[in-house]
Amino acid sequence: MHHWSKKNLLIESEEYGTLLYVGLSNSFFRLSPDAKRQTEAFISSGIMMNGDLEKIYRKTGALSEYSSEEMESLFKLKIAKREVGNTTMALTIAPTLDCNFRCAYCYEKDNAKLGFMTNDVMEALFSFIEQRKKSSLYLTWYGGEPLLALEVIKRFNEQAHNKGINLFQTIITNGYLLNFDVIQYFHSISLSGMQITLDGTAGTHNKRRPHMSNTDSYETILNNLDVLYHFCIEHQWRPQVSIRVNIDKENKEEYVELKSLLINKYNDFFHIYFGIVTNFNSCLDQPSCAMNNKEHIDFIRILDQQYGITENNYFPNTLGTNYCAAQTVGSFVFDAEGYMYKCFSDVGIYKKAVGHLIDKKISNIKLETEYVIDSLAINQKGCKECVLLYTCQGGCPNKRMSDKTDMTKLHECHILKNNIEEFLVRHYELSQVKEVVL
Amino acid sequence: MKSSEMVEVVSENNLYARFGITDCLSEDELMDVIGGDCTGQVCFCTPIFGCSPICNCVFNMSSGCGS
Repeated sequence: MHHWSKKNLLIESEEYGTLLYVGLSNSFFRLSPDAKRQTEAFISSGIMMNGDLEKIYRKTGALSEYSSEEMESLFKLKIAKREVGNTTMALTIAPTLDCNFRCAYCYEKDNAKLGFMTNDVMEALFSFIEQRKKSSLYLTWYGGEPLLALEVIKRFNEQAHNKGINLFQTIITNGYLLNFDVIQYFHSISLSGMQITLDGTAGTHNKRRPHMSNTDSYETILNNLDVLYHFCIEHQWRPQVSIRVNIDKENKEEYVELKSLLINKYNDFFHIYFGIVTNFNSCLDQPSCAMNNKEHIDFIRILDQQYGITENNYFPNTLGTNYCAAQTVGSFVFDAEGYMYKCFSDVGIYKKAVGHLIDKKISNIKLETEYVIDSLAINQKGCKECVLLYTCQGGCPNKRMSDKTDMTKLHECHILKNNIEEFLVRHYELSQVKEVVL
Repeated sequence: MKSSEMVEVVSENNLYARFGITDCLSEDELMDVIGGDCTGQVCFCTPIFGCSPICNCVFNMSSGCGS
């Protein structure tokens, strides 16, 4: 007996007819009138449909031999299997929490600390890595500003090389110190990705992300991006370089200007995207500047309607079993002192550390369990009923855990949730457009 | 009528791969599911690449973490 999945969504569009979104596998179809008729007959009376149609429905989970409850169990089993069978480890290291910028919205600003990772802490970190006997290590360098501690990164790489550890590395940096020598070094260690933040054009960026002494950090970063681009072209090296633009009500208009500027100069070399500024750790001096879901959606519509920028905003991402690394057993963020955290946003807040590389007395089993088990969307009553459960994965666990009175509060839900029909129709419409849009 | 005439596929993902129900699939189906370049299911998350849903050759670009 096959079930019509509760995670299916049939949409009637005046322009495009019947669309079917299959939430179990994040699949999407447009049905012919005949397919629509057969589908409706099955739903209402259980009349079996054309074999080919049934086959595609079964493959994608629109029709499933498992009930909703069994799918939830299968999903939980998959999480367990992932943890048991995973041969990789994903760690984040903040070699320093010091920073050369003083961003107004920084969620670490109250927890910034001087000093770099010592040899003792690094030695303990290698013991931690080697004890787990994984075949590959995915490492993200983070901070503070990690390039202030370049010597630590070099020391780590040298030791990892000597120990035969297979490393895949990325870095999140403000880009100010990303000069030719650093780029050359990153090339030598085959760095696979970088994320650099710019908050608009010169005036806005320098105001929102001021360097501690240079009043025009924008110019320096742009020069560094230029050097990076030409180095990569010359050496046929293609790391994934993301430019993140943190936006709120104050600077959202500049996103398009900055994006156009970079695309005109470098085509698609940089992956440019916007991040919505949130009031993490009550970090904002002006919380009223932060955009809520409605303002976020309005911004997406403006980008689309006025500038033709769509950026895959209309279709859910195919996430795995979880929203982020904080929800996996083996992922940790380490600070320079050896404290271990589950989430980036907790770095430097000692009471949110779940362990310490050297001081084994430090632990926070309750918080670690909240991240790894309690925060999973599959364990949230509100999420379980949602058609987006298996794609949204509940969103940022840190944000939801900060408001335990209502884990599925509207403003924490994915922006697609309350606009899903409109957004999916637009996604279908865009899939018919063959021209490349900005 | 063929399936291609019944439905227009905009996005198609395999339920069995997504839920790790691979025991019942033939070798050909498994390769169809996980992709020819992948040697098996590996899941990892990084802030820049996001969480890889199926295997390590499928990088799912996400709006990453961090500021």
